[in-house]
Amino acid sequence: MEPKEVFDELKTILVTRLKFDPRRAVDLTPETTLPKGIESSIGLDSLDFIELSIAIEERFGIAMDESADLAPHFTSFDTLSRFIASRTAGA
Amino acid sequence: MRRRAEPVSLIAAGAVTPFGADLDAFWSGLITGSDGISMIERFPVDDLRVGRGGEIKKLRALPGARRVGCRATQLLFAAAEDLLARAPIAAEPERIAVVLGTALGGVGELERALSPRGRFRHAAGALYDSPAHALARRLGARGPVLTVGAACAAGATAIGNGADLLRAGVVDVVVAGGYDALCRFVMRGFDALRSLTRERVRPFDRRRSGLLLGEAAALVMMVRDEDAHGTRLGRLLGHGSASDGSHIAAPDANGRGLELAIVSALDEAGLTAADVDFVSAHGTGTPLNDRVEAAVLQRVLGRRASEVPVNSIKASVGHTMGAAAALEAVMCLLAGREGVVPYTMGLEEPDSACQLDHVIGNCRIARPRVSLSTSLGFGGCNAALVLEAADS
Amino acid sequence: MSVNTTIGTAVQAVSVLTGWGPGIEALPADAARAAAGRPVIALERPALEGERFRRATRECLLGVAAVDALLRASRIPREVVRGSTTALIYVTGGAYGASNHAWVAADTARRGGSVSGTLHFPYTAPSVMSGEVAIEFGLTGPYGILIGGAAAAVDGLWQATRLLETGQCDRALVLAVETFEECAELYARGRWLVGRPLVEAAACALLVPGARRTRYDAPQAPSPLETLARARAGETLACAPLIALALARAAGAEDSIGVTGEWRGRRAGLHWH
Repeated sequence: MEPKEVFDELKTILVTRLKFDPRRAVDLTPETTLPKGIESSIGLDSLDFIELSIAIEERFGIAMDESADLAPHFTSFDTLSRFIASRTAGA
Repeated sequence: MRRRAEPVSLIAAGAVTPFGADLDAFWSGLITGSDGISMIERFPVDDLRVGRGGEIKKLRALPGARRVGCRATQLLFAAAEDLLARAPIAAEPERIAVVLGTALGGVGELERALSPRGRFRHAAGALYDSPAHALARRLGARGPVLTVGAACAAGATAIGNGADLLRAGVVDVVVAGGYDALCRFVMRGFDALRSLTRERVRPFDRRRSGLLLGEAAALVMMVRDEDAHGTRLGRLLGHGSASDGSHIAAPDANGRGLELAIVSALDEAGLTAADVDFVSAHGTGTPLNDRVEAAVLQRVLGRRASEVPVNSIKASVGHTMGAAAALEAVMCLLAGREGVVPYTMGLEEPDSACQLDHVIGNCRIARPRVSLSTSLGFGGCNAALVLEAADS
Repeated sequence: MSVNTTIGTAVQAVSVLTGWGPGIEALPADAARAAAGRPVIALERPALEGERFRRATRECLLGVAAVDALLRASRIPREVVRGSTTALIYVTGGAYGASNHAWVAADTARRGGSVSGTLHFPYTAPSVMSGEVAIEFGLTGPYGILIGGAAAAVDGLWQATRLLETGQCDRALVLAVETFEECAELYARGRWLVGRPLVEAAACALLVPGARRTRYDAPQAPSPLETLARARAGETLACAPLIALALARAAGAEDSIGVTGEWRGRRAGLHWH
């Protein structure tokens, strides 16, 4: 999958799994940051990230290595989309 | 300004744990390094990532309790049987209170009520305070019946709340403690949180990767000091609680709530951290809890952090949720009585970020007089108890 | 024998939200008649600002709304209650029912399937209801969480007076929330346990140091206020004693107030005198 397609899927996950208002999802851009505490981020906390990881595993069929430090990939939609796209490449 | 509160006597305790049917089995299991963790057999777990926990494999059939379907209530009855065998309740019914902490209440009954063959009438047993009322009826207690719903810190606050009833002269005897039973409800839940480890529970270990759940019930009988005649297990000197106010399912990164709870408990006890001989930590074995808790204990203990023994028993019996704090309080007093501090099973390579005087590898010969027991729970609950062992 | 307390307490303010509307002004003269056969009088999910609330359950939001209503009506800035000198006592008889019911039902529906429930499970815990309130208002003081009906709320009020009298806090919020709609079927089978109509509610009392001591006892009979609250509000479980407090204050009772509450055969009473 291309990062752009992944990004669209992530926006859907935000609504269906993380309970964001659909109107909010429309405003999101690849540059939008994810973790709480970063200015202008969508404010995801640790609980959200667990749910997001599980949703990503299920939707994209990839396995998240719990022992790896995946935090850098979860910084923004862009980093996350690229990470997921790279893991689904050739799949 | 906070006033020192009068100590309250804990004259006896009773328990049922994965180690066995009574308090003696619990203590024996701890000091012999028994492993109370096994594959859960009582309900399906094959679709979950983790299917292990501290399951109580066998419950004694109790007289007059044939029709008790609720497992949580069964655990309470078993612990009460053990307690009453050690100390009878000597008070008028209206002067006996029951104060219990729980994370799940009677939720197993909700599962039963909503199952294909379930009966809606089971649902009344699903109310979180149903087991406490069942215990009160069994004990003939007609005073206050309180259920403290502070999740995994509930057992501590139940004991603290019970002590307040005594200090205020509301009742003369309090049966306090905590309980929780394993059920699919909670196993699925912690599985969804990715909190459970697929390996061993390793509190404060650098390789720690999560917790395992357990089930238990632990009860103490409390009276005012002046009403305690004969032997006692020890005293409750102080209880403190504080909210984190930061996250619903993770501890505050700075542990501010836990630190406040500890200071509050010490204040109530009229003591300082310099008086603490031993710490029973919450120590679940999750990466976050242990790091935060160790940092708080380091701050609180200061220079003495390298010489005050600290343990966690959550690898031994699992995290017994509402029962945990009550079990650990009893463990503190037994350690003081027996002169042995149980070691932290599962801890082999302490995390450098969790440097404390861990009791590691073997039990320690020590007779702690003043113990501090810490607990944390969902919703940002933090509770601490300061206990004093009976004079030997 | 007991702690020699030298200060008393007072009820500074009470807020009430029920399925009848905001405030006790919205309560009908006769709840049973006004219900006209409806078993549950429901409260709408509050529309609260803040993305943080996207995953919070209705009962969490009702708790936040009740505290917010109290602060607004009393013109108390949030900064006043923020911090470790405010205690929060939360009481409920069954507000956790909705999330617990949904969690069990989801298990039955999707055994082995997907949809993890990570965001759902924490909300099955009663302590997360008070936790959301603590987060929203920055409450980091002592807490109590009691599960039970009206008697438990009286116990909670007593605990609040104890925290104040022993200097563990400067003020105490006693918050009760009850929801019934999602579990209406279950409650319908439990007529022996709860009254009718079931009226969803959230109520909050603010207790502060004051001149009056309290007597905590176990009366046999309901107080006139208990009877009045039930007649006007309906069955509100743990909210009932707080609604009674609000009714008493509205009727001009200044300081000497007493509330009683019954649950599962035990009645508790707390009287300021």
